[in-house]
Formats: sequence, structure tokens, C-alpha cells
Amino acid sequence: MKRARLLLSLLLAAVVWLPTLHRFYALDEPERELIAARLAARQVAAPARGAAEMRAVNPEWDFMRRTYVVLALANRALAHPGERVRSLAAIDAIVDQTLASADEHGDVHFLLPYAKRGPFMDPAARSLFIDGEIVAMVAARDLVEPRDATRQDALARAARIERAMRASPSLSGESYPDECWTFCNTTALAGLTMLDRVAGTDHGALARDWVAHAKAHLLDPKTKLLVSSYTWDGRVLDGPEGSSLWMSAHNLLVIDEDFARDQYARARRELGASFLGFGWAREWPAGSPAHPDVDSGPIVPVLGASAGSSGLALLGASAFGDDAWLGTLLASLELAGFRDADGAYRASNDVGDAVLLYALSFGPLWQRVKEPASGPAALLQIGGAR
Amino acid sequence: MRRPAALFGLAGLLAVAYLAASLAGWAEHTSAICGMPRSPASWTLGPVFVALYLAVVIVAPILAIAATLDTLLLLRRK
Repeated sequence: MKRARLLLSLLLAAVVWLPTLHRFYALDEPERELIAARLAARQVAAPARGAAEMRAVNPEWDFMRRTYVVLALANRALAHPGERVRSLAAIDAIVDQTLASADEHGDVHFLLPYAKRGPFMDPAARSLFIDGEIVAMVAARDLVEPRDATRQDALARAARIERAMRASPSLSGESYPDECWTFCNTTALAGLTMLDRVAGTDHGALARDWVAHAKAHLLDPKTKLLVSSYTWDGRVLDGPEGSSLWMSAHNLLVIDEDFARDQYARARRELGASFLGFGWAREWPAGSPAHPDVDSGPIVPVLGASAGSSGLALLGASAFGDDAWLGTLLASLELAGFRDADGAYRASNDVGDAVLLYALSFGPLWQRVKEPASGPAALLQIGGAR
Repeated sequence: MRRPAALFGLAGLLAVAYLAASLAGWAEHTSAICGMPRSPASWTLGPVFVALYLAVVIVAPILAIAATLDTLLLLRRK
């Protein structure tokens, strides 16, 4: 009897407390903006903070942090005119240092060691991961205010991207030798789309052809989600993974919005979860083999929550206006991330914070890309060339 | 009234353990969760800190509420 009463008390207590807990971790709009502002200020003050530590684990994180910070600061420069000057200065410092590192050390400086395992299938190709994100960074900056200093480098990389994708049987560029990623190819296409807006180039046909090829050959037969990686000639290596899908869907918003929304809806259904106000994302659809790696990050048992997928799901939810799920994802981050006074999360790292910053800042840049084209001259009139 | 006291005591013990870990700076070691440990000890201290924190915010309140309910039931019987 006593035991039964104890169990009943505990059960009642759990019923009262558990559904209430998320309210202590919910972030309203002003709090989200405060976190974003602090993260942005932190990045502007010390853009390369923690780079050495990240590179020791994964050099890609160092590179991707730069991309997400540039995209985030470009958004903030558009949304907050008072931050424009310092945001552009920080973007320029990041881009210039990235280009200098790539020139001095080569693409491998930002790649995992297996990049050296052999030559690219396309002997004339360079890593699409590197070229695509650099084009995206330069073009994003130019969409805020054109800058001549890096335009030619971006155009050269864009030409290289188009050549490599057109030469490939899978219409895709290699990020690593004989390894193509939908994350990288969609990022490259989004970068080319942004570049088209500022440079007057036109990569629309390439983007349309890639989407058509992807729909025909790069969708998982069961879930109809984009696969993550495949060989140069199109053999699937990794099926759908959250750590690729959320970013790919976000990229597709400026390439093929209907396809983007379809992919997000499917990913949300297959990978997204929430319970009692806390959200998370799985890395793989149910029934798919699970093989944790550097992209998935640690997996929480039972829940199947992936650190990598959940982090990028913040961007997905923000980009697709899924505010309900975004709220639950942020609550989970607040619960288990241990935010410090600078707005950074101790259980995360600089690239995770950069993704969060971009997710919280998302909007103005993609809106500018989707605005009716008015030509480079109109963009030059906005801020003037530098 | 022993059982409610035990539940309160257990909740308090969890809170003290968490406070001690927090003051010892164990929160910094949670970076091990994303594969970036501060030191070799992070692989232990980080997850332990997370477990203590979750125990404090999830388990301790349940224990305290259950103890309160138990106390009220006992008082009502008297």
C-alpha cells in the first residue's frame, strides 16, 4: 500500500512537472534576437576563435564555420543597418583569410585526410565543397554591397564548378575523390544563383538540369529524400541523412522552391521529432542502417537524436517557417547546450554556434535572391562598389 | 513523515551534487559531447555533468513534488 502510494505520488508529480519543463527553456523572439546579436558580436570580435581546436577534430568545421558566419552576417547587415559596416568588415576578413589559406595550402587544408587518398575522377576538378562555399560567401557579401576585390575569384570558381558538373555522369562535382555530396552540390548551385544576381551571369540551366537529374537518380526509393553522397558516376554511397538534408533543402529554396518544400516536408516527417515541448532530429530515416560518423555527431540512445542533424534542423525549421518545431529545437538546445554569457553553447562548438547564428538570422539574404532581377546596376546603386 | 523527508533529501542531494560540479567548472567539459574535449577528463566529466544537470531539472523537481503530495496526504490522514 505504501509502495503504491509512493508510485502514485511520483506518477502524479511527473504528470505535473514534465509537460511544464519546456516552458523554462522556451525562447521568445526578443531572446532569440539577443542570442543572435551576442553570437554575431562574438564572431565579429574574434572570427577565428577556436579554429585550431576544431581543425584538430575536423578541418571541414573550420571552413564551414566561415561560410555560416558570412551568410549570417550578410543577413544581419541587411536586417540591421547599424551593424552593416562591422558585419561587412568581418565578412571581408573571413573571405580574404579563407582565400589566402586556400591559395597557400590548397583545398586539402580544409578537407579531411582522406582527400589525399587518390586523384579526383575528373582530373581537372577541384573540391566542389571548397569552390561552392567560397562562391556562396563572396556572392552573399556582394548581395549586401558589391566588392570588386573578390569578384574575379568567384567567377573563376563558378566557371570551374559549371565545367566539373557538366562533365560528370551524375551532373555533380566531387567534394572528395569520387565522392559527391548533395549538401555541396546544392550549396554550389545556391552560390551560383546568388552570383548570377550580382554578376549578371546565368547558371539557371545548370541548376534546372541538376534538379531534374536529382529527381530522376538521387532520391531514396522509399522516402523520396535526396541521398547524401554518391560516386562521380552516380552510385549511391550514403542514403538520406539529416546532416545533409536540412542544408540541401534550404539551398533548394533559391533553386527550385517546390522541390525544396517537398524535401523539407519529407525530412520533417522522417527525421523530425518532438516530445513535451522539446524537439530533435534523427540522422537517418527509420529502418535505415545507422552508422554514426563525424557528420552525425553523437547519437542519443532511444531517441535517436543526432547532434549534427538537430543542429542543422534549426536552419531547416527557420528557413521553412516551421516556427513550432524551431521553438522545440531551441528549447532542447537551451536544456542541453549550457549557454554562456556570450550566447555560445558549451556543449557545442564554433561551427554549431555559427549554424545557430545563421538559423536565427535567416531571411533577408534569400529574400534578396528571390526578388525580381533588376541587374547589377541596381545592386551597385544600393551601396556602391568597393 | 520519513518518506517525504527522504524524497526531499534525495532531491537536495542531487542539487548539491550539481552545484558542486557547476562550481568545479564541469560545464566546460560538455564540449566533449560535440567531439571537442577540453582535456582527457572531459570524456567523463562532460557526460556526468549533463547527467547531473538533467537529474536536477527533471528528477529532483519530481521528487520534491511527490514529497509534497505525500506530505499533504499524510497530513490529511491525521
